[in-house]
Amino acid sequence: MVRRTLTLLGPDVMLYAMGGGRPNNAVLVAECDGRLAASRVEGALDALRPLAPYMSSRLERPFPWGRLRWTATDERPPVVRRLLRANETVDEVIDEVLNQQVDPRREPPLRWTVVESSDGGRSWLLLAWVHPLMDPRGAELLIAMLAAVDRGGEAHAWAVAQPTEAPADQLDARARRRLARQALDRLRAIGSNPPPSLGRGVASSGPVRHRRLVVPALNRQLPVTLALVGGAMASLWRARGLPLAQPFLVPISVDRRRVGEAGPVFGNYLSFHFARFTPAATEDVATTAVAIRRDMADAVRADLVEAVWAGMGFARYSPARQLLRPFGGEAPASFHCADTGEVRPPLTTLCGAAVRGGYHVSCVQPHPGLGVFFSRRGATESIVAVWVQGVVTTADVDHLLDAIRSSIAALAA
Amino acid sequence: MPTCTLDEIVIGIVRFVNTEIMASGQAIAAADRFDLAGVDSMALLKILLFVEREFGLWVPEEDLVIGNVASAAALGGYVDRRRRTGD
Repeated sequence: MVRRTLTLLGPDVMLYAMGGGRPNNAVLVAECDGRLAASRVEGALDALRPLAPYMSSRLERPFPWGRLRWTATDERPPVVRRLLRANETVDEVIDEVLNQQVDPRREPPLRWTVVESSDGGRSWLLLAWVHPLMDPRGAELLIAMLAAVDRGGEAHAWAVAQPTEAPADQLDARARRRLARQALDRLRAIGSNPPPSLGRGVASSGPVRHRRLVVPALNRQLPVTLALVGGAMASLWRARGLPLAQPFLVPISVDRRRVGEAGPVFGNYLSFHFARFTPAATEDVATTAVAIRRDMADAVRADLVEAVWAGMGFARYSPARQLLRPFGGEAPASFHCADTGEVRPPLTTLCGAAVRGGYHVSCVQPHPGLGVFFSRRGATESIVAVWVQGVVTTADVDHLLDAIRSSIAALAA
Repeated sequence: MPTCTLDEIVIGIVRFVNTEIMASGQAIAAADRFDLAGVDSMALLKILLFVEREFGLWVPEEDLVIGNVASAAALGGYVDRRRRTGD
């Protein structure tokens, strides 16, 4: 067995340690008609692995404090076949996969699960990965590459995605330092008035759960999407009796890729903007959307999105540190909202089955947390809430998703 | 606000979009619709910030209608109208 060195980012190590080694998986679900041939998945993976070694982009990034040495095996990630039992749903299997412990120091950071309905009429391919390995777009590219290899051999993989790792940062040290300082200033400004946590008495850990809402594809205007979620969060705030005048933070992921660029399978092209919502100011979606657009314009105008990106790579991941610090003696809580994009339309078949849908169940780092993630496939939009049990309840999440559903219906009307 | 013709405004917007927004090999022309080219809200925001920087005007919320921002040509026309009326 070949052993190699896996360098993980400092923040990843820190988060892994702080999480006590808790699962930190994200899952991409590809829904298929008919039976997915697990052997074809394995064969395609064998062919793909030398082309896209899964830790490549994490190997060479220098840090001020040097490199962190973790070891990882170079063996093929496992492909587990699961037949749905009577009365078992695929959602339960996804929750199970979300909660599987994967330690990238000792095993491949990817897991593949082929789930089949008992009658063989439907199947699901679950690609789970330890969060720092790649972003959701990378997972989509990986599945698309797998399908291309299955269809036409190794050479076809490159028609889907060319590079397997992000190009090196071209900024010089001075520019990165300047951006990192900007990011820190911004985060300190936010931190001076920290958002409330989700309330006292929340559990600091627990199993990760998810729930999915399927609606017709939304207008992809990000501010509108965020306003929907902001309004729903405000509704949750009210339901919990939390102070309406106190803002909460929504880390918004921003894809730095150019339009139409596939980008790397592994690595990270995402930066963040930390929007601040005052629950009391989210009564109206249109008004909130205007406020968010203005806020994001200010952030881009001041280079803050770039600054946070540079800060994450250079300044020892201060955004995560800031988010992790306890708020007023209460358990730290995070809330994520991300538009994880479009599960690629060209993906029509996958290892013997027709692909009919796809969506992301992203992780909610740092724990404990709650996240709402949007992903579109054709005319369908999946809105997936992921939470750590104990931070919010299932009833809270139902309330959140109902509020989003109502807002979408109101917008459509 | 710099003095320039409508054509120069549109060319400037197209150049910005093709060098800063679109991936290589995905260049757009002046009349191509942004939404069909995959320009999302974040990319549109960057285009509006370019217009602000280059032509000294911000597109207010009430003017963010499809007729004004559908394409580089439409946006250039909007900028030119604002420039002429001195709004």
